Amino acid sequence: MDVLDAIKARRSVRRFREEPVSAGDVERLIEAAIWAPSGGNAQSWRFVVVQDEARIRRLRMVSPGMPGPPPCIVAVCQDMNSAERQGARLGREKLTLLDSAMATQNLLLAAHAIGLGACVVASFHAGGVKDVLELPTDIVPILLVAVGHPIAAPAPPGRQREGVVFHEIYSEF
Amino acid sequence: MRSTPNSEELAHALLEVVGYTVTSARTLLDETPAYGPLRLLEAAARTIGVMQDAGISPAAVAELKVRIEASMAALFEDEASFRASVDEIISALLHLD
Repeated sequence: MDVLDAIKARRSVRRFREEPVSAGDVERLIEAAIWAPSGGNAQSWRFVVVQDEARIRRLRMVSPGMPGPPPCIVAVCQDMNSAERQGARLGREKLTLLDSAMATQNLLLAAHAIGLGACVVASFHAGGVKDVLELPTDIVPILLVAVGHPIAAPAPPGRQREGVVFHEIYSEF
Repeated sequence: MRSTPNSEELAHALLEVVGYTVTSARTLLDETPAYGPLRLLEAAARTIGVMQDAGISPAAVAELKVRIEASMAALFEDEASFRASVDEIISALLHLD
């Protein structure tokens, strides 16, 4: 699949079949994620793949934005100690977020390319997620990604061009 | 197909809805107010889901769950349509007998 086609065809999928995501597919998603750019090459991201139904139900308790129920959730986390050690304050406060977002986009595109659907969730209670996933103090959840075989993909929302891009200098209309 | 849950499983499923609702109360403090209606409707849909799993949901209520989920999708696309569909769901809830 052409990467530009994948970017435009990808959708946030919120309804999934019960069919599990295979180990091979999970591996492909994580492989795509870890090939994302990383500020200072810190690679301080950590991924927790959840496929146990009971744990997914507990995650949905503390993740109001979570659709589903999905058969698989990937928690995109950051090792904040590692990020600060390698990237100082910039690494801890900014690059952790940017790296997580770039890794997640890679994961989303890979999911789409292999016929899976996915949806990014930022609406969750971090303390609750840490509890459910038994994350150590320094490992912080940044995003959750619901993954599964899509029942249906929503229609594409429009994209605005006007007032979005400027050339050479920013200018008011 | 899932078997009918016993009372302990039913209580656990309801507690999951409680957990979702309480978590929403906390996370909504930092989110757009528009998410409030979504979270409430999601809680309603999840509650009906629990009723369905327990075998205590009339067909009309199951149909309402479908309508609730459809209305949620409309919130950010067409608020007038969202208001109308929720009004209709309220009316349907009042006339379930």
